[in-house]
Amino acid sequence: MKRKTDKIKTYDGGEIILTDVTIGYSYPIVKSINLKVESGQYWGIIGPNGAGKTTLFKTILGLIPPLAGRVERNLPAPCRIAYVPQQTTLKTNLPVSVEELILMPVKSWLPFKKVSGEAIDRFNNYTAKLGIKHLIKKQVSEISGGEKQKSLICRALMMNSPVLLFDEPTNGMDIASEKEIIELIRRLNKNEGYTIIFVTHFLANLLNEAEHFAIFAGNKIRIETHEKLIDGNALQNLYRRSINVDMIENCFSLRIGAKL
Amino acid sequence: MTSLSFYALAYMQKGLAASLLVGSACSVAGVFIIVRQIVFVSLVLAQLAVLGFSAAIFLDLSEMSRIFTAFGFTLIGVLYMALFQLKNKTPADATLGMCFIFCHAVSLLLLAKSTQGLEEIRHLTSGNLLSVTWEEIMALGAAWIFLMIIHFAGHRSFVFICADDEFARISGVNVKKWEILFYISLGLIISVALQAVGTFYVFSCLVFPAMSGLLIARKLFAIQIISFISAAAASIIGLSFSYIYDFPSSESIILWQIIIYLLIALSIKIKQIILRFRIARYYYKTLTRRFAALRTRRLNLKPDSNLISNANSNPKQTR
Repeated sequence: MKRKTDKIKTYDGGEIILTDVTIGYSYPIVKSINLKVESGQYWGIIGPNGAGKTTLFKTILGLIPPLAGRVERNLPAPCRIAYVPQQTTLKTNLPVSVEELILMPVKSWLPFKKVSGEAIDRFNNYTAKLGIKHLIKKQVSEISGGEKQKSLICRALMMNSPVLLFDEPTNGMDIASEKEIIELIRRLNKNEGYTIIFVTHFLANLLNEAEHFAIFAGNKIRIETHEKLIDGNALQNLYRRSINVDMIENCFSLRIGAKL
Repeated sequence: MTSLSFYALAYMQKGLAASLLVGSACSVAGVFIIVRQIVFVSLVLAQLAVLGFSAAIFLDLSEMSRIFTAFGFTLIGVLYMALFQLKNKTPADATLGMCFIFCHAVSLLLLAKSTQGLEEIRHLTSGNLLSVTWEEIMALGAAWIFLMIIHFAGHRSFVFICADDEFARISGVNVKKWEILFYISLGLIISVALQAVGTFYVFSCLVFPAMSGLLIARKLFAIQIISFISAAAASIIGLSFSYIYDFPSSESIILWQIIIYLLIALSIKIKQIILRFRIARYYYKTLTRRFAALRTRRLNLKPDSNLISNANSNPKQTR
């Protein structure tokens, strides 16, 4: 299929606008995506395996050009969208320390040039917040999956971008670490004004945190409100199972039942 | 006469210079090849250079033209890999395997028609380090400088690409540019080195010194330095060994690269065994001390046996 891509525009701010975008590789996966992620919003992306969530992320990041339509990234001039991939993308046989991995986006191309003081401050701040300060001298191959995921989150935060994309960031984490990460992302959104786009299969987390939802249904994306999702019908239609959303101590939890 | 006086001979000096240049350049690039798990890519590049040489021999071209033809063939392979690899549906290892067999078969066919066919094949696989000319060393030096500049300027980008190429692209690293430059520098050194040292030597230099470095050091830069030193050491010891015992030079250096690697691996294993033994001894001592302390405490706390027997025999009396 011939790619009909318009030029990607960059403005000031922290917005992403997708207009009539078709995503895919040599064949389309999802067609006619119209999505406007405004500055400071928290978006949750929901969809079954293989629906095209990661492909959407890659299109937003500019790793894959859209097959059709226009992607606009409204970011301050030197910034790029920060991305937290699934930890499986990281090559573990690489002989680098956690510190080197985290500082990769801010290091100069000159081998002996030191990292700026401002970047070091951010590094100290985020490693402390994520509880990985004790790991920084360890090799990437020596740390656990959850610790690797925290290091990847820290690396994305080092990019100092107003827009953060999370692709299943809590995979392989214990419940305490998962809670920490979810709370950290919430703080980044509420206190520091980061724009968040979050993909996870833990729907309860998304229902508790996100304000806006994009649901992959067939080869289309539907924008849903929080109320409609809580109602359960939208999720039932998507996963073809009976799904009930309960509220326990101000938190949503899901009961997943039999096949419909 | 000192033991290394044979290095006063001009052909030994040229051989040493060539082996040091090839060894150091390949060992620096080899670290990234091992880390990125693209050992077969380097083997295919070497085979493409062999094909280029064979074609040049078939066409009866001059010595320098052979190097250019070999580099031309390598360049085609590099560009093919960089531009079409992603779009190709065939698995990468299958493509590399097919490429290797094709290059090998065609180069054999081309050399079969050469007047010195078998000798040329042997020369391309084993090389002849002691018959290297100063012109070839100059060409090797130029390729060495080019490779070192690329690795110095692109060190951070190469590390980034090795760790996570997608994230490198997001962070603004021009992945395709650096990958092409990496392969071009590698292809250039392989093409120039082939005439002097042969494919086996080049391939060995790409693998063994880097493996030795990976065994000892933990930082990429330190790994490259150790790789560099081990390649240089193998060159000096191997060349001396080949002169003293009258063995082929390239194969002797390869042998010493393997020996150095095995010695490092063995010393690490012995170090681990000693460490485990020390830990076991520490635990044994701690446990025996604790058991001894427990025993003495039990003996001290042991109640009077007469009192117990009285109490058991007449419970009312004790009350």
